[in-house]
Amino acid sequence: MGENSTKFFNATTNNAMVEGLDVTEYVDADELLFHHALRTELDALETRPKKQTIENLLNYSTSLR
Amino acid sequence: MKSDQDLIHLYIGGHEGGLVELIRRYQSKVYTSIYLLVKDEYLAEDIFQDTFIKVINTLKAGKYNEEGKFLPWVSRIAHNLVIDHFRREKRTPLVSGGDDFDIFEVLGNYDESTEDRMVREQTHKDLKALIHLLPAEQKEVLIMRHFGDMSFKEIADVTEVSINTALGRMRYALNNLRKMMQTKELSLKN
Repeated sequence: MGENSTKFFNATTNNAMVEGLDVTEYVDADELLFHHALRTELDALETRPKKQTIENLLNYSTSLR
Repeated sequence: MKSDQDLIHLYIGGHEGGLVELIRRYQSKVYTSIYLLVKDEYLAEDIFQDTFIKVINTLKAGKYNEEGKFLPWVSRIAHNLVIDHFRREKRTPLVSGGDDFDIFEVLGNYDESTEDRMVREQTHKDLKALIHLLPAEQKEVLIMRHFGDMSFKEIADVTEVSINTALGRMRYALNNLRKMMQTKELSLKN
């Protein structure tokens, strides 16, 4: 727990160091809760393309055989 | 469950089923990220199709770089096609809300009351509108990060900014969304 919580307050100025980080790794707990809740809602926004679009792609792929 | 790499190998080896599964796995994330950027259902369908045509051509040509993850790679292609579109149109992505048409209403039926369903649909509609109100560069990072599963390094490369700038834009996007939700008294389920 202690190890994780220190990440919230780390300054991020080095590109190599920042590369592997998520934005949630340096926000406070309140922001973290909001981020997690938002993720769930963003997932719920997902929608699919039309079946015809997928069929077009599969037909295109098959035509290249 | 087969990994993306397994499916790619199957497809390159001549099994169309590999492509079918890859599309099934990621169609929603890729399509939604395109739609949220262009705000036009028909245009999103076209760009989605062009994205996967590029994917198919690259895989068939044996040019896919196996070091990267599949979804971020596809998301990068989709994002570049969106940018190409806006360059051709010589305009920037719209940042205002007000789109009455809600394709997100086409969601699965859950065991819930009519009232719950209406609240859920309204929340999604409001959230979508708020995302469109974000400045374009913040919306872009939020979408690439969430739907495209792209690292901040990848986002920084695609948008030609430093990693810190990409991270900063994500934070601004989250903070702005939060403030707008508070203003509109819109709450998220925890």
